[in-house]
Amino acid sequence: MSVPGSPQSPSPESTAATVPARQISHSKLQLVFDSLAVLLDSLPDSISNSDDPSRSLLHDQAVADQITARLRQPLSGAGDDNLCRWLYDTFHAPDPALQLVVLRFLPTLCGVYLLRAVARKPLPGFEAVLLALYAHETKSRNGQAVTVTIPDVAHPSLYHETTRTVTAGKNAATAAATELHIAVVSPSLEPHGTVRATKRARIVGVALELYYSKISLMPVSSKLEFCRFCRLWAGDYDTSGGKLAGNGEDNKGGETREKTREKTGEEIGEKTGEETGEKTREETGEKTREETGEKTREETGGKAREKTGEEIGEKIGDETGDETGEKAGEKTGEETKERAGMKTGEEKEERGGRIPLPWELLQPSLRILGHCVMGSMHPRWLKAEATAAIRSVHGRAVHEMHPQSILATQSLMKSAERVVEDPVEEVNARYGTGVDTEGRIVLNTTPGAEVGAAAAG
Amino acid sequence: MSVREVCVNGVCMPTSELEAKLDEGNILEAESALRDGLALNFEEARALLGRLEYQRGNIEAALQVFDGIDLQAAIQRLQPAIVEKPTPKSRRSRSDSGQSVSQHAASLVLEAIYLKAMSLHKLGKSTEAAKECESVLDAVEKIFPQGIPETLVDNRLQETVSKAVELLPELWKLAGFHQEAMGAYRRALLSQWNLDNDCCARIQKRFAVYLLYGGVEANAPSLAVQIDGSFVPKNNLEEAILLLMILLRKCYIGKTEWDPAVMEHFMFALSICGQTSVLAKHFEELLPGVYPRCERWNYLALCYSGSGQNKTALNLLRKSLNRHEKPDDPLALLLAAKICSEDHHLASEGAGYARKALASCQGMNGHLKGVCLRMLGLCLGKKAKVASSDVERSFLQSEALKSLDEAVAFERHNPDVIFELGVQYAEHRNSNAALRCAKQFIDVTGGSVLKGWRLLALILSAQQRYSEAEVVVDAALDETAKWDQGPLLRMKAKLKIARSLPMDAVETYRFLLALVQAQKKSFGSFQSASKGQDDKVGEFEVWQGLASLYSSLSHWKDAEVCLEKASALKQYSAATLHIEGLIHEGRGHSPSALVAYSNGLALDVDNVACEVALGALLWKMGPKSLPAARSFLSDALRLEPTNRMAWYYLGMVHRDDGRMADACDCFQAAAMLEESDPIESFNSIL
Repeated sequence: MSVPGSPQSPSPESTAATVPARQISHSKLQLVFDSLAVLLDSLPDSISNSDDPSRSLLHDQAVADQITARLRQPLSGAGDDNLCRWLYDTFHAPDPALQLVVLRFLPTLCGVYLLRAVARKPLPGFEAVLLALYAHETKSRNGQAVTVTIPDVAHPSLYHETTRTVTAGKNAATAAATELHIAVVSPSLEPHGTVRATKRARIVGVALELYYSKISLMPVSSKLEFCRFCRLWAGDYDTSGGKLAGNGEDNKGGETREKTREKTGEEIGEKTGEETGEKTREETGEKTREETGEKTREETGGKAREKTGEEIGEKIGDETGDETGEKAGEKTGEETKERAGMKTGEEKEERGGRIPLPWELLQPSLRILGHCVMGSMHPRWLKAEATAAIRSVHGRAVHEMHPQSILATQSLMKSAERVVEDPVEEVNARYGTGVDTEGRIVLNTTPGAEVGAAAAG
Repeated sequence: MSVREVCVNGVCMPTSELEAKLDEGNILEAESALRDGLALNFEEARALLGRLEYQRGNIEAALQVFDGIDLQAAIQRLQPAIVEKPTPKSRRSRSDSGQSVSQHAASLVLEAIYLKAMSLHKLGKSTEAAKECESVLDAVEKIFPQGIPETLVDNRLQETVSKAVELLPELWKLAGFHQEAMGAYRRALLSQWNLDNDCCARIQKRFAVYLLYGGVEANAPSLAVQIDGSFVPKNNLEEAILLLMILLRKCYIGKTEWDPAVMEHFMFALSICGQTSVLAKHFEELLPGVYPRCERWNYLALCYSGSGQNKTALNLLRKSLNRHEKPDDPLALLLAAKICSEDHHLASEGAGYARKALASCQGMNGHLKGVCLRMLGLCLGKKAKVASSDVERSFLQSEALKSLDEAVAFERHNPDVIFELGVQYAEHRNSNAALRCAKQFIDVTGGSVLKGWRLLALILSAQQRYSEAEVVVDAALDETAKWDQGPLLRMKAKLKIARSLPMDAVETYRFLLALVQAQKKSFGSFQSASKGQDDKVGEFEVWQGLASLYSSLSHWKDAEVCLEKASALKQYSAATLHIEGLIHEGRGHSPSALVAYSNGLALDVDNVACEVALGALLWKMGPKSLPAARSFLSDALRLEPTNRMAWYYLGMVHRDDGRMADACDCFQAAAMLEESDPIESFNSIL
């Protein structure tokens, strides 16, 4: 996996702040790594022996896999979840590079959290981490809103002058009509000590804004996780590739399924459907994984039955499925396999883990998706996953008739189709190669020389 | 195969000779052959050789040749020759041979460095490539300290410069140096490189894309480039929007060709900021023919609807849905239906759109069926409110219910549909079904949507389960941050009143008042004005609520004080006049009460409370005024068929007039409604 923001480009603040910080509180940092080693049984040598262990930790895929798997465990996020405690402590560690490590896991954490929080399950572990991120952002922004002034091109700016010839006639009129639009990108922040249900989207949204501000330093796998969760959140409306596409069959299927479900009792139908799907998919997978998957499903199934909503079970079932799919995909690392993984993913995500997506949550998500799909350094499979997520969100926006997100997702989908794979080649292709049609290198010092040379040839 | 040659100054030399030498590894020999054969100096010869190798695909060999060029020396040699600035007149006549020679030399050397950068890039050494590329630009700046003159430069040199300018940011990006890339973009756009329009537009577009999606916050542009009075963007999004606007403008005035991608990025940027009205302006400015007109109308409708200008949006949609245009576009139909569903008077039109959409969503758009049904249900429900007869109303209501019910089957994961169905049931007084929907909505949304809680509490209050409703409100209060608690507290106060706990209600109102006042202070007038008053409780409402509470307790003095406060905030309001009338009536001043009610009606013809009170007062005043009372009460019932007090007084009027059967019916209606009367209208949460 290629990593954008490769090792030679440390973020400016990390170079500025880490060096003295590390000298002062080396022991504190050591504590972070020691406690992680305890959590995961052991840490690879590549991290502990590294010159910059924080950076190595950020980019270590094996450790990341372990941690995300833990985050996805059915009982994670509880008050006594040590991993959440570690994330919380690590975020408050004096090394900004370690904050990046915490942010790296934000997609999984948000993903699992939002899907479960809908079932109103207490998740104080996750919430503590999210609140820490929210508080950090509140502090660094001083609670202020983020605004954008929409410029008026009738007035000169850094990048253009208003030439008289163009605006002379209009000048008087435009000068009078000029009004600066101030757009609020992110409203001002109130301090929150707990996650109240109606504020959940905002708190997660702000955490995602923080993630977005560091997104160029995030490993690709972290972005990939976000895209997958985003698709789940939207409810997987991506019925086909087209603009507003989708096929009627699908819905008919849904209809009949709905009816049978009503008849047979929802839970049973759902569970069995899920399990069979899962089994066929995991034929290739290892047995152990299947076992753990089965186990978690059983556990959550039990829980779900205790609780009122069958949704919980559904969702967690989805999560575990997703986890196995992802692992398989990442291990192989090949594009084709990845795609296969996605396909099987689609089967199971049919119902989706649809959660409420108010604009305060959707807007930062769209910015992240935009980055994933348009980022110049991203591997193709990330772009594919991001595009799928955008399509889902678009479908959802159409179903909810939300003009703003329809516009945003539609433009993203179109832009995604145009992404230039190799900008350097694109630039070069626009210019001549310096060789004329007959393969001659011509250096024309004077206009006459060129003609002469051509004639000579 | 044609003969490949190197031609300089009119002298040509076949490349095969040189290539042979190069293949043997004799760079020096090849070099001297060139120098002798074509009268070139050392750097030029090297540059030529390097290019030869580069074009043959021998990247590493090319690099080796290029490595031998001493750039600094070459530049120093080039510098003074050109620094002697030629007079503008001598530009065209190339009589100044010294200058032209050095330009040629400069061109060769610069190209060599550029090719070196490319070679490094091809070998995967992005960082070195970027550095080399940057040195091309540094060199150009040294050779042309005043910027590149427009007509002075030969094509090849200009091309190398343009290429290097365009490539540098891309190379930095590849190397992962984001700030350097930003710097390179700005350098490209802010220095004098004599770039042509297209090249400049390409760089601006790439920079905008990078700013918009790159996820790296750019440093502020250096003060040196900031000119007084000109707009300097302060963050990425702003800078991207500025660049995109400039690009769009270039298209409008025909400087560059239309690029749909620019509009798409612009669309994304502005919808992310929620400024779709600005986007609409730009769509309006587009020349006809850029987009098919229906597409443009639909985009415009989305933009206007996104910024709350629904009327304009609907007018545009009417155009595009005209039968001569695209009457079957499902998205346009649905948007039109949605806009119509928010207005009683448009509901009928909206139902038409929704039906058409339903009919047209076959095949590819089949998944939209649920949305169509939902819009149809909403429109019919709205239409029922203005129905002229009871029969029509109940027919429309049950149709609305049916549509929404079907919609739920398709959109079973969309909580909004469940919510709307719940409201519809509640208005249809099917409170058990409504309750089920409200509970389901809260379950599906995890209690994260305030209106769900409010609906549940209202339904419970309609079932006279006030204490349970209060529990719900308290639970909702737990899930909301304090600034959003206004509507819940208001509801709680009303619940306390319903439970005959007036002092608790006063206490709650007092708390609400403190909240509202604190809110006003902390947000200032700017926020409250801009945010719209949808979900916020105003100070006026609190005073008004208190006044009506006190008047119902016959605490006339207190009621008057509160009323005064309320009138101070909003001078002409039917609601305050209604309470004023109640106070007069309570004190036995019927004529004053009559005046107050009539004034209230004069301010707002559709104020049901005033109408009912007026009707009741007229009924009390004796048999002479019974017909007038009857007409007011009937009118009130036309506006609000579920107003139980209106039914009650109408029954009284009928009784006094001797129409016992009618009176019976009215009383029955009143009694039934009393059992299902919510503390606030269900409309208040939609």
